[in-house]
Order: sequence, then structure tokens, then C-alpha cells
Amino acid sequence: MTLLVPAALLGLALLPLLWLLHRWRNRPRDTVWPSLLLWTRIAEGGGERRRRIDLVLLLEIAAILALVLAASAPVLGSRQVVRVLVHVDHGAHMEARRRQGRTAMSATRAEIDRLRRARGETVEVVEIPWRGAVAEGLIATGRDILGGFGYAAQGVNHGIGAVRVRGDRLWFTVETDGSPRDVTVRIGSNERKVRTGTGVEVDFSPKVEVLDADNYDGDDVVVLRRARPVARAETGSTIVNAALFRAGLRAVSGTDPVLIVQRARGDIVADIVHGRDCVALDPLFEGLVLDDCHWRDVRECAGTPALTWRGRAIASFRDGRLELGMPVERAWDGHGTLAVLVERALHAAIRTGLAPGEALVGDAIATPAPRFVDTRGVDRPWDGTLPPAVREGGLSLRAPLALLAAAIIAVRLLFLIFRRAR
Amino acid sequence: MIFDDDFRRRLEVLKRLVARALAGRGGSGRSPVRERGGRIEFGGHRAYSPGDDVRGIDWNAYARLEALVVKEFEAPREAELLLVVDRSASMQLLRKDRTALQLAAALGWLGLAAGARVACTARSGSSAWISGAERFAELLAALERMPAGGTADLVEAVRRGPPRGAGAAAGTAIVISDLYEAEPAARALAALRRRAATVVVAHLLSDEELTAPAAPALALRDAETGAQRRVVLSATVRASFAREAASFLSERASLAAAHGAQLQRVTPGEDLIATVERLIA
Repeated sequence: MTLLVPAALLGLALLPLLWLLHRWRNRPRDTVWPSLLLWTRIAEGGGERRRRIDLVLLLEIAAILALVLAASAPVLGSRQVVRVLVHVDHGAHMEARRRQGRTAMSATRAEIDRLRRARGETVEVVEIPWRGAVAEGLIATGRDILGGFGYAAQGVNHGIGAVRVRGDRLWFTVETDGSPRDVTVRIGSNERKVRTGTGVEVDFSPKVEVLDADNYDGDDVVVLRRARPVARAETGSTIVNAALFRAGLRAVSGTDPVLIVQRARGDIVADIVHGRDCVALDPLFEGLVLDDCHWRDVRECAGTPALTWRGRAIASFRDGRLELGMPVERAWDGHGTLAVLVERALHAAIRTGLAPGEALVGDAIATPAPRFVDTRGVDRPWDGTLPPAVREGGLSLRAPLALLAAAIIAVRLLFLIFRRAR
Repeated sequence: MIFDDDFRRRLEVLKRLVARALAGRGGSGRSPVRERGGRIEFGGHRAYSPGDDVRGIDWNAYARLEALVVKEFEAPREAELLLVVDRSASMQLLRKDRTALQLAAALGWLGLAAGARVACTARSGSSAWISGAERFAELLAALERMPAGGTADLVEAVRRGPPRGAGAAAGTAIVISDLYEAEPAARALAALRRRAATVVVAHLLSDEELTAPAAPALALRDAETGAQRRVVLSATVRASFAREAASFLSERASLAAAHGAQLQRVTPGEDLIATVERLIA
């Protein structure tokens, strides 16, 4: 049996008080009697035996014990579980190879396995494939969550929008690198025209879709289709973004902690899941900031700058190779990997304050083992703590004990009424 | 105040009842007597001696016996009522003393009204014989003067009683006590039996002292001896106390019967008239 609230056992301190009260209630009354003759004869006849245990006192003790035990919430047969939801980004970029030869995904899985093994209590690690970008009920009370969205696994969706959640209202913009234009946006089940570049504030909806855009998987909150995607992000005191869950993912309960594993491209997922903290596992990046980053679909590059930053080309395709303008230690394969590499280079450069082109990409690529980023308060490395374990399963004895206590108290009251009537 | 207005009202009722009873029997309220030959009571015959009044010669007897005999008449003997009142410390509780004194006063008045002479006695004092209903106030005063408290000593109370008058008729003794002490009570009854034709015991006990209190525990102190005892009042103890109380009442009734006395249980709060009627029945 496990006590969920062992502190309730402090209520047993009432027992000595009860005993003292009992002694006081049953103190002898000073009485002058005409003659002790009859009382003496009782004693001599053995009628005055040692007092038996007071039934009323026993009832009161039993009531206190039952109440204290009920308050301590005993549970039979339960188990203690730390349930960790790990959202693993299954985007193609997660297959980017790293210096050690492992992909980001394999490194991530190794980290998850280590997490499973390292904890003494039962830790359930539930891997949730995360590909998309749907903000769903992830609101930091009183905090703005700025979200940008990663692209879909196929790498063909480059739509990027910005979602800012103020309190329980959603603020977003639909961005384009072209002239401002009206796009149709579905917010929840309602459709409306929205001017690009203009902030729109709406009641929070789990899904906001820009219907004019195609080439997105439909689950993104805001999808912008444009020739050249624009990323816009802001830094705040906490580098977070709206947590993105693909619709249809297993619902995250309010009590489950969340580990977010993603390739952060400046999009640290929201640290609040239904009001609970979560931890972001970033196998490749720590939270970074994108600032005026423009990049193009590499298929369109062909000799043109594939990636510019602040107007400067930092990566170009030449002869089928992406030249980043900085040493690249590893080859790449596929679009996803390319994008990853490019972004890593960019982010590393920005983070360190170096201008693109300077030699930090190698380090950025050769990111050490996935780092958990604790986004619960400030952007700091996760210290490895997990939320407290929760009890699940088992048979709660609280209600039966409470009923027992109520029954005992009722009997005690009947005793009281009976005595007074007598 | 023991002999308060309520007592006097009850006494007036008693007086009316007695007067009604006596009117039914005739007479003036004194006991009826036979008067003969100037003397009150015929006391038998004796042989004529020279010098006897010849008017006393019973000629009918001479005709039968052919002997000269004279009649003798005796002076009337006044009945006595001795009230033995227990005023010990045990009697000072639960309104027993008040009941005892009022009962003694009512019985004393009855005796005086019946032409008897009445005296009251206790362990620590007694009165002289009092005759005549007009001297009832003296009896009341004597009852109130008797000191209260201390232990019960009925033997001493009987001893302190005024001696029987010469020629007095065998009278009545009424003991008013809670009779907690059996041996002294027995000796007192035996002593009273020697001086009184009729001994009545008013066994005065309150219902409260025959019932265990409702408290869970008691620290008891004997009113007379000061002895102390702690008692835990379980259901068993209560039942035992009830049994002992019943046994006590039975034992005292047997004790009285063994000494030729009639015992009546008296409870404080009873109607005085009803109690007197039971005692003199």
C-alpha cells in the first residue's frame, strides 16, 4: 500500500489530545455521600472491577484513525510513473549526418534510451512523431509565445509564418516577400481574408490555415506559400515558439511532462503544455534566433544564392554542391540535409556573432550529443530533472476509509444522543 | 426554616383529620376513660381490711363468695410517645433532616392531641416529657434545638431519652433514621422494645442515595466518617449498587422485624399526611 499524502499521518497527533480529553471528561466528581456502606459492599463483592475500555473512546480513536488514513490517500497496487512524452521531429533534417557518423535521429534515440535507463523510477518515454506545426492549446499564461514553424518533412513546404499567442488569443501574420496581398485564412472553422504582413488577432484556435497556400500538408497552423519563404522570429526572454503538434497526435494531458525533440531552427517549442512545463531536446541546435533570414528552395538556386542573410549570400549551389562559404566537413544528401546544414551554419554564425562565412560551421555541424534545453523559464540547459512521478493504477482506499469514518462518527453521535436522553 | 408555613398548613390538615376521626368516636379529644366510683379504672378486688371504706365493699361478690371484698380503682396511666430522631451527618443530606424533623413534629402533635405525653431525643440531646396540645410549640423548639451532625448513635439517643413515668402506660417509640449502622440500630431497637409496647421505624432514605449517579466516576466522601473512595461507574458497578441498595432495604426491614418493630420506608418529598398515616396505621 502506498500513501499519496503521507503528511496526513500527522493527524495521528490528535490521539494524545483525544486521550487527554477523555481523561478530563471522565474525571471523578467530588461527591459527599451519606454513607459509603453500599459502595464498600460493592467493592467487597467484586462488583467494582477494573474498568473496561470505554467503548466511546474506542469509537473516537477509530474515527480519527479512519479519517487520518483516508486523508493520507492510501492506494493499493499502484505504480509510480514518470511519463515523458518525447516529441521527435521526424523531418528529413533529422537524418543529417554528424561528425560521429550518426544522424540526428539516431543521436536522439540514443538520448532517449539513456533517459529511459538513467531514472530509477518507471519512466515511460512515448515517442511522438512530430512533423508539423499545429499550435494546440499551448498557451503560457500571461506569456507570449512566438512561434515559427518548421517545414514539413518533405522539405517542400517553406511556408513560414509567425504566430504569437497573447494570453488566450492568437496573433499572427501571414508573411510574403512580395507585395502585400490578401490571403484567405481559415481560423478554426471560419474563413476570412487577411492582409499579408498585417497582424491578426483572433480567439485561440487550434488551427489557422492559409488557404491560399498550397504545398503544405494542411496541418500547419499558418502556412504561407510563397516563392521565397520568409522566416520571422523574435527573441524574447525565453526563446520559445508555439508548441506544435500535429492534429491527431495523442492528446497531451495536463499532467504529462513533455520532452520536445526537434531540430530547432529558432523554433523552440513552447514550454507549456496545457500549463505544464516541457523540455526541449534539441539534437542539433540550442534555441536560436533567426533574423531576417531568407532562403530559397535549393531547387531554385542553380547558381544563384541559395541562402542570403541580410542581403549577403552565404550559400550557393555550384555544381550540385552547396557552398556555404565556409568550410564544410561533411557531405550532405537530399534537400533536408542541405537545409539542415545551411541552417546550422547560419545559426551558428549568428549565435556566435560571427558573420556568415566564418569558420564555425564545422563546429555547428558537429554538434555534440543532443542537448536538452529547458524552456520552462529561461533558456538554459536542462538539468536532467523530470517532473515528479505520478501514481497511476491501483485501488484507492480513500473513499472507503472516509465512509468508514463517517459511519463511526454517526455511531458515536448516536451514543451521545442516547446518553443524554437517558 | 423547618417548620415553615407549608408544614403548618399540612399540620392543620392533620388536625382536621384527627378531629373528624375523634368526633366520630365521641369524646373531647382526650382518650376515652371509664369512670367508676370516683376513680377512673377498676383495678380488681382485695380482702376487706378493718378501716377500709365500707362503701367500697362489693356486696355482689360477698353474696357469691360469702367473703368481704372491696373494689380497687386505679388512677389513669398517661401514654407516652418517644420520638427518636437521627440527626447525624448522613441525615443532613438530600433533605432527610428536614423530613425527619417535620415528621417527628407531626407525630408529636398527634400524640399530644391524643392525650399522650411526648418527648424527643437524639444522640446529642433530648427533651422532657411534654403533655397537652397547647404545649406543641415546646416540642417544636425541642426538636430544633437538638444538635445536628456527627455520627449516628441511636443507642445513645435512646439512652438520653427521658425516663418512663411511674405508672405510665407502655407507650410507643418512633425511630426516624436512615439506619446505615446495623449493629447500633439493633441495640437501640432492643432497648426501645424494653420500654415501649410499640416500636415503629421510619426508615428515611432519599431515592438519590439508593441510585448510582450518572457521572462516569466519583470521588466519594462519607458524610459521617470522612472516609474517601474513588469509584468508576461502569454499567456493572451501577447494577451492583442497585442490588446492594435493595439488599440493604431488605436487611433493615428484617432487622426491625427481628426486634418486634414495624418498619416503614419514608422518602423525602412524600406527602407528610400520607407518611403519618402509614406510620400510625
